Amino acid sequence: MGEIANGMNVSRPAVSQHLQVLKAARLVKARAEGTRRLYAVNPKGVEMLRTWLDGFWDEALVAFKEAAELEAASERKHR
Amino acid sequence: MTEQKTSGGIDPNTVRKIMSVKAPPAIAWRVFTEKMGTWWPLAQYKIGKAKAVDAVVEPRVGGRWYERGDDGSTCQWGSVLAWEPPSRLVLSWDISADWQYDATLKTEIEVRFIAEGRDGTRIELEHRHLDRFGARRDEMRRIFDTEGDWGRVLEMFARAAEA
Repeated sequence: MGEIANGMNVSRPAVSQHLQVLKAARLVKARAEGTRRLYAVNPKGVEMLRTWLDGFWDEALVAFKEAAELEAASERKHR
Repeated sequence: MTEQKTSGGIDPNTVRKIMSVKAPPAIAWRVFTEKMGTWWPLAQYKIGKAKAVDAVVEPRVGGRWYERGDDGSTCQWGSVLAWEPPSRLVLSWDISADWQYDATLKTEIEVRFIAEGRDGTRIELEHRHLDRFGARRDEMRRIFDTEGDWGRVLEMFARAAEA
């Protein structure tokens, strides 16, 4: 990442911050080599994110359905 | 980023889900919002260090959406953009792919509760603007374009990656 910072008129912390954001969004990949952090562009960033969210919502909504139906059944019982 | 790829009619920037629930809209709404902590998979999907014990949606536009830990700490996930009980909820989701809060990464979740049959609800969920993650990439590119030489940066990315 030092190489990236050296190549531009941007401060090292600023570059580091931007790389963290990109890494969080999986748009870049990082690995450590000794004391250096190496970054590579991840061309499939948004696609991976979408796949991950797709699976996440499947799981969350199935759990929601169970909770809502349990609640409805319990209300019917008390009516 | 303008990603126009559509394979089989799938919008790459949106996740859509439809689910039928055997509960009337008022109950579905209540469980989704007031009782989110009873169904949200908190064991895996949370961001705080503490064990998460509840997921809370404050019942108003501008309200916070957050998790509460067993030590009383809270970690914000996003906020309420639309609050129209019992039919429509829009939340902002400010969480990155590795489950970190980032107020600048705003994607949107819209949930519609549509009455179905006598005592049922069809839930239509849309998680959209996923390209905003990509927009961060464009933003970074702009910064590099104005303050450096993007081509050189990419070369360095590639070299650094191969090193």
